[in-house]
Amino acid sequence: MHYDLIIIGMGLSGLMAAKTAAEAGRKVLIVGKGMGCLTLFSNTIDVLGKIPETTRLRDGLSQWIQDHPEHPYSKVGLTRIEEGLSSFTSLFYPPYIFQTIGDGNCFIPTGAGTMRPTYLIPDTMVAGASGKEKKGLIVGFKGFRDFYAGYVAGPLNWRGIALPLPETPGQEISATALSRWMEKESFRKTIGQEIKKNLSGETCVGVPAILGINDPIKVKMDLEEKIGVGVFEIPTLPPSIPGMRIFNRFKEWLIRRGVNFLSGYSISKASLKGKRCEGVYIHHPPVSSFYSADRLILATGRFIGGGLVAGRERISDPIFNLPVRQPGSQEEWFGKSFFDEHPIHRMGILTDSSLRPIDETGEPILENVRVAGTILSGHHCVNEKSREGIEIATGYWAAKKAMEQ
Amino acid sequence: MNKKPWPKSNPDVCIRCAACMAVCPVSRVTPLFPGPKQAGPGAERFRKTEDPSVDPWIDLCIGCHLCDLVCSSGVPISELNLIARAKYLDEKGRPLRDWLLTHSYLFSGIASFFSVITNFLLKNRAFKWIADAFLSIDRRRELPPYQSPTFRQWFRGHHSTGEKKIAYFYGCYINTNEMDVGKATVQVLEANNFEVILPPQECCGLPMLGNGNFKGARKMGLKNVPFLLKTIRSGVEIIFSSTSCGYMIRHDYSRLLNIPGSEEVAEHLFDLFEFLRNLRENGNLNTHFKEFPLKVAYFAPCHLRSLGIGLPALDILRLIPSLQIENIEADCCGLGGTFGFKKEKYDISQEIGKDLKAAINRLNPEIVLTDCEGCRMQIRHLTGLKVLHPIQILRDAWMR
Amino acid sequence: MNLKTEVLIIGGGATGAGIARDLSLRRIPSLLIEKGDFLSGASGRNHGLLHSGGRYVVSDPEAARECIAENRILRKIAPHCIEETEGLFVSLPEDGLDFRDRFIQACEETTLPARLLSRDETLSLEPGLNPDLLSAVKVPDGAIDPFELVLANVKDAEAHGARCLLHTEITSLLVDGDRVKTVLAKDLLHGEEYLIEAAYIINATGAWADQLLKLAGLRTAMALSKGSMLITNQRLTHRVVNRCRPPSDGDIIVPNHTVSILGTTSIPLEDAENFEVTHREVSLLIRETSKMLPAIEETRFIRAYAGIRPLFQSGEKGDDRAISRGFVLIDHEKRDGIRNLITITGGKLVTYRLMAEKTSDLLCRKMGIDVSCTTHLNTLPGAEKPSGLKDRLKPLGKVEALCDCELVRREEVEEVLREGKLKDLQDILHRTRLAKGTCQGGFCVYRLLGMLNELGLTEGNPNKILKGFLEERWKGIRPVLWESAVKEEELIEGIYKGIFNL
Repeated sequence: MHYDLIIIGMGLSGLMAAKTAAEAGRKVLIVGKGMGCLTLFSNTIDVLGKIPETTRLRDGLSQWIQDHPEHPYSKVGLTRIEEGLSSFTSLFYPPYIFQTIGDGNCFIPTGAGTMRPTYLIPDTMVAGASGKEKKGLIVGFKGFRDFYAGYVAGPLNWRGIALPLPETPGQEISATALSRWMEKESFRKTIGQEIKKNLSGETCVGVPAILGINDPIKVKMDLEEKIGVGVFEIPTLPPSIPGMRIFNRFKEWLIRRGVNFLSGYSISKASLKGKRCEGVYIHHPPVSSFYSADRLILATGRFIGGGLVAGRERISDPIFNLPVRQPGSQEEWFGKSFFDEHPIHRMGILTDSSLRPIDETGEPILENVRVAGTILSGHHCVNEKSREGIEIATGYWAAKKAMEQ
Repeated sequence: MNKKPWPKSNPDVCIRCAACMAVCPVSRVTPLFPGPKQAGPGAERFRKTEDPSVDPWIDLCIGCHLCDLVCSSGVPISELNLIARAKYLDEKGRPLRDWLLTHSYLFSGIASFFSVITNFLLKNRAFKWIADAFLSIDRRRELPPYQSPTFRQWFRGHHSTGEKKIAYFYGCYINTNEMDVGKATVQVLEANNFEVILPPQECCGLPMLGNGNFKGARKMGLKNVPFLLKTIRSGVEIIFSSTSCGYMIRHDYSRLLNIPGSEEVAEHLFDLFEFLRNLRENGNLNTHFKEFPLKVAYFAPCHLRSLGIGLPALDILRLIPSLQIENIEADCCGLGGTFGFKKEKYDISQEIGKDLKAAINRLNPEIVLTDCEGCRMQIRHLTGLKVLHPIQILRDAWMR
Repeated sequence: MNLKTEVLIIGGGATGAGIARDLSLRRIPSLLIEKGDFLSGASGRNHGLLHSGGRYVVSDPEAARECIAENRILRKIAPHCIEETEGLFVSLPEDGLDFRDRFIQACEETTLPARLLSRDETLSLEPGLNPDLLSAVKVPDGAIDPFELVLANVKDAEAHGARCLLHTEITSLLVDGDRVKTVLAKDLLHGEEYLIEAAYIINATGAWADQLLKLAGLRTAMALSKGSMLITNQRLTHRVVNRCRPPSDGDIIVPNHTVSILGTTSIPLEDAENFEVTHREVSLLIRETSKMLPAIEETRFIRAYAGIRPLFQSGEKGDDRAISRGFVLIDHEKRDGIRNLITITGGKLVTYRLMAEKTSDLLCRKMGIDVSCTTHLNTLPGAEKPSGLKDRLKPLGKVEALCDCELVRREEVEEVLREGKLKDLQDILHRTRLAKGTCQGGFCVYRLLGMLNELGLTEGNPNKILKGFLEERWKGIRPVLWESAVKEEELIEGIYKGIFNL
């Protein structure tokens, strides 16, 4: 099969690239080994959480771009970052939409009772945003091991309760099972009553981020009606249900647009000819299939996604074997403290400003390949709180640049 | 010296990230199944080949492979589960019910011949009650009626012509229970100038493999592969219309069952719509469709997703003018081959199915289309809607 | 606060706990003081080998004899702490067969049951071993869980009247003439100070023996040796695998529950507190052990750790493996004229009971009483209901497991909590398999803290404890971060630094 564009990687950057290209009417194949990190880390859209609390994101970004010329944001540029973000938000239609609070970062409570800065949040999290001054009741569920109401409430000086789930006494209950129950009116009725009984002057109620997969706003509004105060979701341990909603939305949209969506398969080999990649092989034992393309985007993520592989002594890109800026020997990859900024996280694939991979001298290595997402070098997305922003901006920009060609 | 008849995968690569926990249809509806992360690579660290199995919950894995498809570390979770299940069931012993459910190919010929009687029985409440009480086949489940003549019998009286030859692996269910799918397949292929031939074939063995019976499944594979090899070596490629049979032959025959020659077969075996999509890619697909104003919803079966070919039926059906077709956003249908027939699993099967039903209801189609006979049975059972194989619509949409 | 006891035991390792049990069975009251939790030193940081004596049979037959005798006793009194795996001493081509022949002869002389296996016999038992091996000698090695063993000793001791104070450090030993008159101690968590009066004092502080003696102005000639080990994600062999050659680095693979432990190195050390596993040691362990089991090159490691061996220096300092691993019992009355102080050090986990017996015998002689030891006759608590891996696997789906990797149930942790006396997170981790699996507590410690919070057992901000744990965890995983472990690490950072913004 031949495609205008093949995107390797099914994380947020790959999905954004696929959307951008499909929107322009191109024939697109997106192929990924797994689901990317959306279901792990992404609950909200971080763009640059590191900037001072009161700074407007726009100002923070421009300053950041000035100060960090090697950062992926600097390659994309402020305007394109903003275009990418609005392209992302346009995918979500009411009632489940992503929004900002004001023009900078907002702060949302986490599963560890901390507040964390983020930029775009889904409607289900708005009632808890920047809410340290509010008085909230945190509600957890017995048997749901990934969220503890008291733990969350403690540092926030709120109150936490854990509701029993009579149908599964002593058993554990997964995030997806709980989300599914939330979609049932009868379940909401029972827990709504329980929560209402437990309210004592609190003006909002925080629950783990499990308010249903398909129609979370309906679940939220119904609960609010039953309880009488605002309800919001709090991100916790993976799997992330809000991340799943993002993934599902992309998948639905892309399939509807005729994008070939191949989840679960990895590229076994790229076919290179000079400075061009002619296509890729997908090996699904015992069958190997070749997919050719005019252009490709590498958006395979870092280590979890398999975009980068750390051997005993070296880090490499297993698909194109592009040069990876090495952070010294294995001993030097990580700092002595867990909370250090580990050198390994800064390294990645080097590119020019149009996101083409380059060698140490700055020469493009492959003319028709672009690189997007966290596999790029020059960022530290966990510390910067910039994961989704980088994915969206570079995914968008890589597809735009690829189509110019 | 590895005496194990099937591969043992290394669970070391699991990073415990829980992506699989986001998609498992079983752990979404019941806490009784601990979910792929624990059932697969997690439990694997505790299992010792020489010790008896102690994990009866492993039998609740429905075998949908969805966990495999989201794992970015490439842990073959469903395979770990299947091997553990096989060991558990080998030790525990399989009830007569499982034998009957996995050996229907032995008596389906007779059942078709006496289809009037068979179907009367299958619908009979007393019969279903007996099957429920004595065999633990859930009485709420409709047993699929048999048809006479069978597809093979019909084909015998049919004269297929075309410029090029193509072989068709139709599978048991099409032969005795849904022969129109076979007919439609033949008609569509003929409309594209292919002469259809039917190589000798037996049940692919998937029901057995799905029930952890590696030996039985391997026996079926050993019967089929020589027939199929002979076909492809004569220069004829093979297509299948059932994604389950197709997945079994293309991937499980070699990877899990180690059947000699199966790799070669796999290279020349195609999903029906994948084959049609390839024709279209080369400009050889007959696209003389008529206006076909109908609202349909398409459901991609688990085994189709595991084939890794995308959604070719959707790609082709979208060529039909005026056909309103939407993809159903849902995962597993819940039937899981024979899983949903078993009394102890019926409720789980139905709970899983409810999510699919809700997704179908959101689209409100006139007809539902899906490539897998199991999914078709389940969707009929869940919704009462008319459910077809996409090839039947394609045939009907052709200009004549 | 003033405390009074007949015998003060300092050190909560296997030896201290063994002495507490021994004395309690002889009806001699004792108080055990430990500055951390039980097993904070070498007792909790070894490879969990139930020695057959094979490792010493050529170099130190006396130690080997002790080992095999104690090995037999432990199988009887602590079957629940032991997995009878058997052990193999494998000869590789580069090892030749001379040592093997001496080994077999020495086994005969010390009555250590040993059987020579051909290459094929060996490979049919352990198919993963290097196919080039020449032969193997089968001996009754086993795996022992030091945590269960020591805690069972403590339980028995307490049931017979002994008392224990954890997280309490001895701050001074006040000598008055020919005896230590008073002992001062401090609770390290709450700051409370104790003045202890004890008729007799036993120094069972292992690697810290010298430091303690300094408080009384005494010294002993002991050496410290660091031994580093690696833990694999999966259990690689059913049996203990040793190299059939004079003891050296990286010559043993011990199966333990769901994992295997590769050991060890031997590096002289000055300080018993600050040490880490180096990159060099990791490479060396992998290189050496993979000669016996080639799959080790590709296997995944989940942790590296090191223990400090207290070695008694008898003569000149040289290769510290040549120093005796037999134990040393010092009567300070004879040596230094201090009548009520005994030091017991050196030795091995497997001889802990014998060490306790000899120490208690000496004490009885000093006290002028005549009661004999019964620790080898009575089984330890828990022996009646042994539990295994299958008990963890079986109830899934019907219970709430806090730890996905080691399948530790919430109930199990609640039971440990009911036993009380737990002062910090590590105390709980020592008493369960929590955080000992693939993710090393990446998921379950957060859950544990959530659960403790629900039970009202966390004081202040649980994130402080969580951060402390993550730093502790880091020490163990940093040396083995490559391949899948790097992915895991990215996940854990994404959770704690990302989602939780710690």
